[in-house]
Amino acid sequence: MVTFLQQVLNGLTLGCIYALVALGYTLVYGILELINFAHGDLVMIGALVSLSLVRILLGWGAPLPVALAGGLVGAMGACVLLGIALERLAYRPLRHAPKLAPLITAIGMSMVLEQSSALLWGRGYRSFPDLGLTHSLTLGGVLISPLQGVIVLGSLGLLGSLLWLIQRSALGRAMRATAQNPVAAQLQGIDTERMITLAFVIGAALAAVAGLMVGAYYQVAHYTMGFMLGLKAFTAAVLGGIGNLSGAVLGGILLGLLEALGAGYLGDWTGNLFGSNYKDVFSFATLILVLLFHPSGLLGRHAPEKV
Amino acid sequence: MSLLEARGISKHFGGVQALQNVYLTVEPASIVGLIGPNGAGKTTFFNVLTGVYVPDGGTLTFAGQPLPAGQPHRVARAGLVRTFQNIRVFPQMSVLENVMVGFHGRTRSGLLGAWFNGPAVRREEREIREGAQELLKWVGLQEMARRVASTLSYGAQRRLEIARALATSPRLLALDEPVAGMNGAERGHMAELILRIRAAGIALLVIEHDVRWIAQLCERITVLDHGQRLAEGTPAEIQDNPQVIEAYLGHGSHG
Amino acid sequence: MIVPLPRFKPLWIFLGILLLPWVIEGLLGRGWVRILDFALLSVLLAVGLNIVVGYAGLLDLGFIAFFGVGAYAYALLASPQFGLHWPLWAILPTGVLVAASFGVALGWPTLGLRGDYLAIVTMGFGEIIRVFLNNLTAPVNITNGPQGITMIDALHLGTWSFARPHRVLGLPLPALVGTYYLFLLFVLLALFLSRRLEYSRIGRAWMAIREDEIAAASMGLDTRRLKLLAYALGAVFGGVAGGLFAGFQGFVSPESFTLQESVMILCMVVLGGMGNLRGVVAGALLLAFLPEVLRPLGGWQQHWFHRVLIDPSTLRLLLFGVTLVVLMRWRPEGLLPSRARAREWHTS
Repeated sequence: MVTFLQQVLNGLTLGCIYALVALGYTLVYGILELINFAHGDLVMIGALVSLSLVRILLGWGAPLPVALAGGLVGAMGACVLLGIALERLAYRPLRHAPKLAPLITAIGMSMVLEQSSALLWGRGYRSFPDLGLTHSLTLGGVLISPLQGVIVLGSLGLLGSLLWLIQRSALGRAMRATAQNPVAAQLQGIDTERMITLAFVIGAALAAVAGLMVGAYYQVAHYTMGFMLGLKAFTAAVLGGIGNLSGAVLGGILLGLLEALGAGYLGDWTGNLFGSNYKDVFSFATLILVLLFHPSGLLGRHAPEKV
Repeated sequence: MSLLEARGISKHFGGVQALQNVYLTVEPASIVGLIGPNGAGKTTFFNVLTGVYVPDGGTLTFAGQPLPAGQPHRVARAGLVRTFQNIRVFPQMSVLENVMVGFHGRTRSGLLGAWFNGPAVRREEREIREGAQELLKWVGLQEMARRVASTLSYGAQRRLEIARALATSPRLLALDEPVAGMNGAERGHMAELILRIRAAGIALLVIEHDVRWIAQLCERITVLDHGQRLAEGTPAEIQDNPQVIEAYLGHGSHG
Repeated sequence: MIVPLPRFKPLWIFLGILLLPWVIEGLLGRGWVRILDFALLSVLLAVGLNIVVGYAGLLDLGFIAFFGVGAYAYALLASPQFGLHWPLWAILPTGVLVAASFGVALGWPTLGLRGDYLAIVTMGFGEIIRVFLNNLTAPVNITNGPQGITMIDALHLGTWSFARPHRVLGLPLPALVGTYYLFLLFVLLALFLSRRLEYSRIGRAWMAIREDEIAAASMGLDTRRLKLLAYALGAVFGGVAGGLFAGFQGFVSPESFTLQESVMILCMVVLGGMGNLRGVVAGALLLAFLPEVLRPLGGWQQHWFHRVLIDPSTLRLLLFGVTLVVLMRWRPEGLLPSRARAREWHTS
């Protein structure tokens, strides 16, 4: 039981981070039907920028909360700028090109981001400054670190308020209208180009938050870390029903839980034949099963194709 | 025995009841009109009929056999083929290639045939090509065979769709608004083509807005409104039916 | 209809292709012949993926898995791992069967999915295969984990080994050049088979599905079976390339079969021009050589600035990424698009 709760907690932490990143994929996909392949790399940039800034600020003797806030703001600024640049340089010129062309540019931009980071931060692993938040408390046998609390509560709060904003505010309505029918939205006087930029901006800002969190959680950052994380987050978005915001959050958390529980129990179930090293198989296999039985994802609307 | 019998077909999307308990029969080598105001469920009925959607209730019998639900290719191979309201030719293939695709279900050559390209395969290809040219001549597109389909005029694309459907050698051809957006002369040509197809022994089920145009062609008409069958009868009966007149005038007349 | 064969090339092009490895060895050195050999394997892979993506229009992001399956099939059947030393003519058909069954096993349940979902499922499949290659060491050590399998038998037909130099008609034939001719044979066969398919009843059906799947099904095309066929065929081409790769390199390990490699092959197909064999070959050669051309960047920096300012391998990948972006912006339909693809782009 205790192990189970421990795995749930670890899974929840990971899942919240996936959810933040998945939201970025789903926002852009919802409007452009484009897989923003470089999105995972924004998380990596967020992690490395915040790592450097926190280190510098702590070195100047700034108190921890100030250093963290500085790191977060800096990472968000960098990611948002890059997100906008990505949209302007790589995707917008190809808006009406054959479908696979933007995918190739996205892959190209992903390489550019990774290699530029390798230039700036080197090709080795960079360790995150010790925040003193990882000393775990025991709660009924379950180890919980303050950092996990911050990650779970912080991201859930952030996701909740964002979903609320998009459901309720005029700007959110305009975004949803653009996603549903760009032409009609434009006729209604909505500046759809601005909405597209906004989707990239929000996604990038969330990626920065996720970057800081994942860096602090694993205490390490590396220029290739965005790849697998992005792949998992995209999987989460599809799992929840791509284009659906609540779906992305649900998919992220579910995937995190699946992975943690899979890693924890896979070995027991199979007589140690498949250990935790198969946890990626576990999550992808789940995705394939979900798509087979509910092809539009968990929360995706099953719209009949227009004939 | 009727060629097509649809009994009590129902279909809903979420809370919207698109079709409710619809009955329709088509006799061999006859022409049946399916009319109704916009949103009456005509195209949805076509989609259920041709296996694009699976109906929630009801049975479909074609030539005495149940139609496979939700499997368009098997419906087509059974001999029920359709055209589309919003024209769906293969836009970047040539006109001839479009029609040649229609022969797919009636031909056999496979992977090894393609690789070795023996005499039997070459003969089959030649037959497909000649058959397709024949059909293009039949619908009056023989001059356009080498053109890219998307460069054809609207009316020509409709005729191409019909030629492609005929290539599958159907027993029932279902046309979804074949004269939408056409002028008087073009409508006349289409009516003439439809009668020629019937004369070749193929039954037709035709969706149309224009009651007068369809009335001069077909033996029987079914009227749909709000997903339900409103009336069924000969063109004369339908044109005098007060409910039909009400439904059409109530929605803003189309014809 | 008489299938239009690849147009009869002037003799000198054919001679050029035959003499290419000799010229390259003379001008650039033996290392470049090796690169050329690997480039031919890339062409084989790209031609295989082109059947899936270019002809049938299915986005496959896990294609490298079939390459991996083929490579491991060769490695397990011709190495000390299990003590088996099968000959090439027995391994390749086995590899083909294994790769095709993997293709069908993945395609059967998933080909009903919409394009983007198919992409992620194939991507997941690719990763699953890699994880298995990395971990199938217990209870029986099959793949030998991340270390991979070494001491794989060299490619050989009978007593003729492609790993050793020979003398033919009194002329020396270096091992790498002999391998070039072997790979060239496979590439030409693949091009021939692809070309025949493109202009057949099946190729026409694939194109119809690519253009409008619903209309295709409504004309009586069994879209699922046709897509599965494209998928299995692509897998077969990938599997053969994998087998040749294992025999040529002498060892295999999971790191040769990452998603990045899948993406690279997809880039070859899209960059060159999907659906057009000439474009696909050009794209494959371009992307296979580009990283090698960019390799001496360190030396050039030394020469011009008297020190290495930027890590050469970083700079190489950076330029590679920039090239992809610029090329797609300049020619989104690919370098040598098929006529249909070019029309698609210029009419939309």
